[in-house]
Amino acid sequence: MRKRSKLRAPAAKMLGEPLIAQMAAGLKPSALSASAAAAMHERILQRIREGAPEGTFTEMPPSRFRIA
Amino acid sequence: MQSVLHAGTANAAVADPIAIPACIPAPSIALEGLVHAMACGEQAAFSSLYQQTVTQIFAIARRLLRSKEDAEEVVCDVYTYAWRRAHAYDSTRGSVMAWLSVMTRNRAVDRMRQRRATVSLDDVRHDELHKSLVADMLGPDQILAQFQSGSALHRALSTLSAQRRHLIGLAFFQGLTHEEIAAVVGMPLGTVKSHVRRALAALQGELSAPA
Repeated sequence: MRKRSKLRAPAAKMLGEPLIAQMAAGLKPSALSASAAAAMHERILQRIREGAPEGTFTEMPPSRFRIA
Repeated sequence: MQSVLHAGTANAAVADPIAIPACIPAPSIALEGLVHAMACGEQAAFSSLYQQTVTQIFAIARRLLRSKEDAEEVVCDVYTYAWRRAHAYDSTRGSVMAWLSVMTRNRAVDRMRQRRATVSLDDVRHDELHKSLVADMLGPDQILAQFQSGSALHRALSTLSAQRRHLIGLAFFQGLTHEEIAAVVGMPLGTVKSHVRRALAALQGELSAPA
């Protein structure tokens, strides 16, 4: 099998996961409203329910996000 | 007035997994426990993990994609995948935040590539692709501005020459390969590889040095 050239290495390999994680952690925060966070949470739960085997993830109460 | 969450906030209260508050960074060991509980199907653990990490994960997606809608889509993908693959999380490979962060960055880059693929369907595909890459490029100062000032990473990046910081930015923010970087910046491939290798060595040296 032909060896993959290092010149074609994707950026993920170029930087390496530890550095990517460090760079990601160092990014400035972005404002996220509680309502947007709650809406994404609902979307995720919906996706999970759709893909989950029957009988799982069905008793999740509606999300209630509050800010201290 | 709408409340706003900021990255780095966390909720240490396990008793109420639906609340998002408190400015206490989630201990990595606590997040690991949540992922293990998720692997056993515990829904409350999933919600707690989401609440403790979503602001940082959203920030990564938002900074890379510069589109709120795309960032939200990527965040939803990441957490759905995290729930399904919780059993595969290996703490010896990195923290939970690193796991989620790398996943988010990679998915954001995939989404950027999808955008570029759409552009490249045009008749003048190469020109359009090149234009879209150039339009999305952050300059060396803009790259630095994406990171929290005073952080080790900000300091490390500021030690790089503007040119090398630019190349690292193209790799991190746009997920470009060496070849793509060479094409976009108009440098020989070998020169790009050399700059990137030296920039990475400098970054690793700075980040591993004691503060």
